[in-house]
Amino acid sequence: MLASRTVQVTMDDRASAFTALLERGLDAHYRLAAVILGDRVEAEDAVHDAALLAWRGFAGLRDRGRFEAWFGRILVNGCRDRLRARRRRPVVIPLTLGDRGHEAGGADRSAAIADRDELQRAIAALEPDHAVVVALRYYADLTVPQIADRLGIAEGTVKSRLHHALRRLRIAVGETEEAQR
Amino acid sequence: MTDDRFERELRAALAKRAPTGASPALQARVLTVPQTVSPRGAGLPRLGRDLFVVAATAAAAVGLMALLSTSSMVRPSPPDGAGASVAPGVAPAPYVTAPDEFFTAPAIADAERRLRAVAASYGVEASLIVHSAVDSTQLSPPVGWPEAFDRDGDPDRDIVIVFGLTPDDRVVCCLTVLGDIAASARDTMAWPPQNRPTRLESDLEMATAPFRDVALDRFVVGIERFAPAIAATSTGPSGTSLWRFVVIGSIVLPILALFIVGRRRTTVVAAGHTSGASPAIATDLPLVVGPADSAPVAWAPPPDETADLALIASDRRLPWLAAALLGIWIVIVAVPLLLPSPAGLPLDAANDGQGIARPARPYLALSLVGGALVVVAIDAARGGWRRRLATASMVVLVAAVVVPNVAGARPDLDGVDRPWAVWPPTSIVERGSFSAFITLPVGPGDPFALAFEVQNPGILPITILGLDGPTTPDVNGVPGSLVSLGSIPDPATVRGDVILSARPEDATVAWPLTIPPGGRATLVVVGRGGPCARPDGAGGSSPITRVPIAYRVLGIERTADVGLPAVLFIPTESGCTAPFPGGWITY
Repeated sequence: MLASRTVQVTMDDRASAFTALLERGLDAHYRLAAVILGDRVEAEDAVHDAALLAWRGFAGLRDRGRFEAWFGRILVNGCRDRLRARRRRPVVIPLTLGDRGHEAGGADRSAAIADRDELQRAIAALEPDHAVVVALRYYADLTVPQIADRLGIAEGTVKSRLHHALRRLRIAVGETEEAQR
Repeated sequence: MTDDRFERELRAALAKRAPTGASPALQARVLTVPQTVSPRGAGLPRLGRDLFVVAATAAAAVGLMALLSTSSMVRPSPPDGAGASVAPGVAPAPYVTAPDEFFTAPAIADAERRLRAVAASYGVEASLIVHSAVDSTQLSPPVGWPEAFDRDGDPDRDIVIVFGLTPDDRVVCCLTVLGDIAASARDTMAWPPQNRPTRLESDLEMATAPFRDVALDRFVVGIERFAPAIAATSTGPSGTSLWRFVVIGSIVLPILALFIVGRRRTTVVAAGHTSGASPAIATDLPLVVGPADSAPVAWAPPPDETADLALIASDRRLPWLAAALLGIWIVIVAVPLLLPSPAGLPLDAANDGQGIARPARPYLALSLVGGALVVVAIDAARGGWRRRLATASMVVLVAAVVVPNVAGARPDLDGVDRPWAVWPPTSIVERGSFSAFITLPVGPGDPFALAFEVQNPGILPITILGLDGPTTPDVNGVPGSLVSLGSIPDPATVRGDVILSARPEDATVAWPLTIPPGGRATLVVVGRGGPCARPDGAGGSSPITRVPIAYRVLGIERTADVGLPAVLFIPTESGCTAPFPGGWITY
């Protein structure tokens, strides 16, 4: 009887701690998921799934001070999986994205970039791994070492992915490779 | 454009994708996770759930197999000493019973001693009885047969052999009773064939007792070699039982696994943002969230995914459709098996064509099975590679198990000590090394009959429909032909104590007759002499060695050529000329 009550009290404490930690950073996590996925409804599902996984493994988290980074890693990995799953479905990509750079002159490029919908489509067309590092770098303002730590990959890999992602984005919005140099 | 300017544009574009914050609905969903989900996951972790499913499936399969299997492995052995004497105070039956001076006294004494030793060592009681018979057409059991020869109350290991001795000193073979365990050991060829009853007749027909003692000694030697195998069989499943166990498991296990895995897939109802604006869509998703009412999902599929989800929802109907088709097939197969056999009319040797069957083409059964396969194929084609691979594996597995068993389900005599009888009693029986040869002394139009026993060695019940008309041998129609097929539904109630009779009037025409797996049936095939048949003829005919039997298994009607336990000859008049379709034929 005493043992079961002790277990119940421990469970209640753990649930309260988990809820408090999650609630503190929920808005930021949700926004990051929405930026990566580009879909607010899917971002809600991603956050919910990440919360489920985090709660299942919460007992194994030794340092609760790292909850934000730990949960963020779960969330980002979940978002990346969702992007990969999404890419297995047919996606309609406007043909004008790749062709405009060869047709438009330099004077028109600024006007093309001003159209952020085009950049949005370019971000949506990124590889899942590229989309994740771009969001972490230019939305969450994480440094390269922080991104490497968040994703569990090497810093060089982060730099490489950022380089390729930016080059694809520039091409997508109409810049030629010569102009990038 | 400079890098700074591009990065500013990029940051702005990304910021535009970000919402202001988590909605109250999301907060409610996420922050109630600890209350709705166990910290160790929804129930068990995925691996744990899979292991649980496998264990539950295996347990259910073992239970079903124990029910379905008729092997002795699920039957406990009797305690030692149980039923040490069937009737206390009454002397137990001897192991060897024969008319006076049929065997020599020393040979009987020696056989008694050795058979008693076998019984004491292995619990195998083997009895050999030779007693009088009226003629070769019928064989009666001895008094108290077979219970009186079960001295220890454990009939599963017992062997009782009965030979008949006609007034003209012809030996009639034989009534054989084998306990279940002894039969299992016999099926694994543990009983040397040369020591079996059907191989003793030629020695038993010798003129003097010392020569007949050879047959008795061979029988005892065979039992001494056979008994250890019976004892070993009683302590574990025989090869046949094990194989039957494996086969049944191969069928039951995948079906159970499919059923349980199918039941694990839970429907989550997702409602649209605006109530009533879009219909709720049932998606086929694994259970990853709590009950729908405790964790409402505010989610609506993008327009381009709605069609995919509708396709998934419609896919769920396909397995049910396939199951329904197979269910109809099973009902069609099972209902005739559950119906009682028709009473039937006595077989009349004067009327030809009784018990003649013409197997129908199995259009209905094949169309149902084929339809189920087509539906399953469509279901697999609509899914991913995992579903296709799983479906293909399941179809191949089930086909690999079912097809050989359907093909192997046939009436058979192989491996069985075959009691048989022939009619008329004037038939001449000669014993060969591997078979008996029967010369039928019949004239034109005279009937003859052979009674024999068939067994269903498979794991599926078979239904005998009758003699297959189109392929029944007519021995060119001139010496004679097979004209009817009857059966003896319960050989023990033919006429008094007569167990096996070839008299047509003892048989009935009661088709169809279902033989359960491992069961036996006694058939009586009736023939008639042709225009060239002569009781004392010197000419010969093509021997009749097989009888085509029409039968049905799983709703599919087929024909099997069943080998006869004896070869039938019809003597003909030398040089006889008779009309034949398309001309004349001369013997």
